[in-house]
Amino acid sequence: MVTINYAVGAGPAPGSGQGSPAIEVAHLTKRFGPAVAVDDVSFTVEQGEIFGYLGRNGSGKTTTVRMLATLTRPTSGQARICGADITDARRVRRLIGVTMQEAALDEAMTAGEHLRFVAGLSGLGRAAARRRAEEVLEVVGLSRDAEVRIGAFSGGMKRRLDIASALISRPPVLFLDEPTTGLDPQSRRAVWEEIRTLQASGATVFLTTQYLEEADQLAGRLAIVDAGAIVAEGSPRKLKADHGRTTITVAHNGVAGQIESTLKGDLLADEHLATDGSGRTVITLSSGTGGERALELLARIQGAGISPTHLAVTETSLEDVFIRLTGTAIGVGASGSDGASGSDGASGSDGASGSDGAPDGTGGEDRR
Amino acid sequence: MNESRNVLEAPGATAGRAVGLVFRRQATAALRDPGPHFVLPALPALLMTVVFTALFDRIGDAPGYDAGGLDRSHAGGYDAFLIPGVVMLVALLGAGATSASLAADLRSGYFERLRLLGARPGTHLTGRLLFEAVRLLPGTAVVLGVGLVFGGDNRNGIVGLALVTMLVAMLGMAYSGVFYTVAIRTTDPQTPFQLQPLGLPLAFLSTALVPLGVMPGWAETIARWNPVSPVVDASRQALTGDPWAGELPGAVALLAGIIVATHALASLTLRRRLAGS
Repeated sequence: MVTINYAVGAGPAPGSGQGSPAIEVAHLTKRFGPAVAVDDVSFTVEQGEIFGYLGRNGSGKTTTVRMLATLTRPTSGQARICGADITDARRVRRLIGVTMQEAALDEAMTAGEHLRFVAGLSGLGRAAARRRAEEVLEVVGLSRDAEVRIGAFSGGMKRRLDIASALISRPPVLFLDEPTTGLDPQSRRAVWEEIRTLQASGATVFLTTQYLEEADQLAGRLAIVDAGAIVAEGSPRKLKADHGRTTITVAHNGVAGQIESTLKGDLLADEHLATDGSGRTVITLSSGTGGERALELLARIQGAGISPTHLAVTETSLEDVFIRLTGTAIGVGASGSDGASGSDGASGSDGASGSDGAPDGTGGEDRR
Repeated sequence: MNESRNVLEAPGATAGRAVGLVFRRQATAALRDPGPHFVLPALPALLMTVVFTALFDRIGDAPGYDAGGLDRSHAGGYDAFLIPGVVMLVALLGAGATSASLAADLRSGYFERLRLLGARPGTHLTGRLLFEAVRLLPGTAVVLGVGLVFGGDNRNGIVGLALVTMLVAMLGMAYSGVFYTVAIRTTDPQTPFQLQPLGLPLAFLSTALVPLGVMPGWAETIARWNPVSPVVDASRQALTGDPWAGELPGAVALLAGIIVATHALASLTLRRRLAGS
């Protein structure tokens, strides 16, 4: 019935699971001895959504994915994938595609051999497996490399091949665990494009990431996780509005008093006005997405005949929200990723791939 | 569950198809890297064939050589005695090559990914097991061919050669379960190399290379209990005696039992490991 296609140019597919949410999680907890890796998380992901799971290394993202993918047993709590309980591993496994932090592949095989193998194991006959392997290679743009050994692939190509393997059985729900960690900026953008294409073809995507820009760009909704627990959940815009504050910085020729007296009656209870170290007036608004409100206040300033020498309106970045909610920045490489990402993305990915360790590919934040 | 009846579900391969796919994967890898898979198993046996036939040709004159026991079947000289025994070294000293990829798959997370596809984990063992048997055939043929040139005796024609080859393949399968068990526990792709020395006592403290009669007492005791000995005796019967005599069914039954036992152990170890997460 379901026509999730995952082929180039495929149109949106009707949802699967006939009305049940793609992912329902209630009070999911995982303890490893005394350590709590995942701490009572609950959330729901509707069909067709890209749901971001944003947190730094060790915050329980991979453990959460492993539990939802039936690879790790929860200590307590429940979860359902398209209505199927995760304790029913055989059933759940038929509904999901998974990629883990480190692309797990056999480097001695060619890309085509690997995908035909995977397609065969998922139940396709020989001819169908061959066709399907070609299709998914095209989806991830690796058609020309089908008969190249995986050992000769770049990190980005391996990651795309890994995603291709997750698509083989056209699963309605995809778990992508840090799909771009360790990739250069171009490869990262290529993976983003693929994720958007997958969503367009009807898939639900659960995406973990430690990159703020990635969450901001891709996720319709996201959860910010810290120390195993969800500290906030919502659309990037909602999180910024709820947990951030837009600021207006006005540089002027010593007219702070005039600005203050102009705005005095207009400022809401939650808004305030201060002078920074350079003598500029800084107006802090109550919302993190206060663009319109900023225009109102600026109109007042203009109306009073005040002409700033310099003016900046700064909406909250997801990074500000993250710092506000968790107390610290997400990581060295990812900081500032809301801005120009060209070069800092590269350094960020290097740092991340170096630090997330786990040479055995089970994910840095998990024990085996 | 009604509400999700229409969800597209990947069915997962049947066990037979999955075993075939795993076998094919192993075969492709082996053809690409024939050294450890096809050549290495034959080398020690070939070396010993050449060296032992030259060095120990006169062992037949040693006192006790013709003493009864398991080696009563040999009729010719030492060369005729040696060849059906030394060929078992193809299985004993070249065993378990497919355990390397099993360990690598477990270590890299590839196994876990494959496990999500629906085929039963055991099929990854069975497909490898079958390839272990096939992998030993070229080496066995070469050792038998060279052995016959170096003084080996074959009175039963193609039937004798086929029976010996079957015994080598079964011995390789029986022994591979030990490699799989260790590979699953350690996830170390070097497992086949690290376990290789284990094949030496199994070979030397059996009737493969010398008859019981010329062994010191302690070695004779071990050789009598070494499961390799009855297999070698059946092999010797197959080439130089009555292939359908009592030794063959006994050896086949013994090997079948060991195949089941070692692979039950490997499967259990795998299940434990997978359940441990």
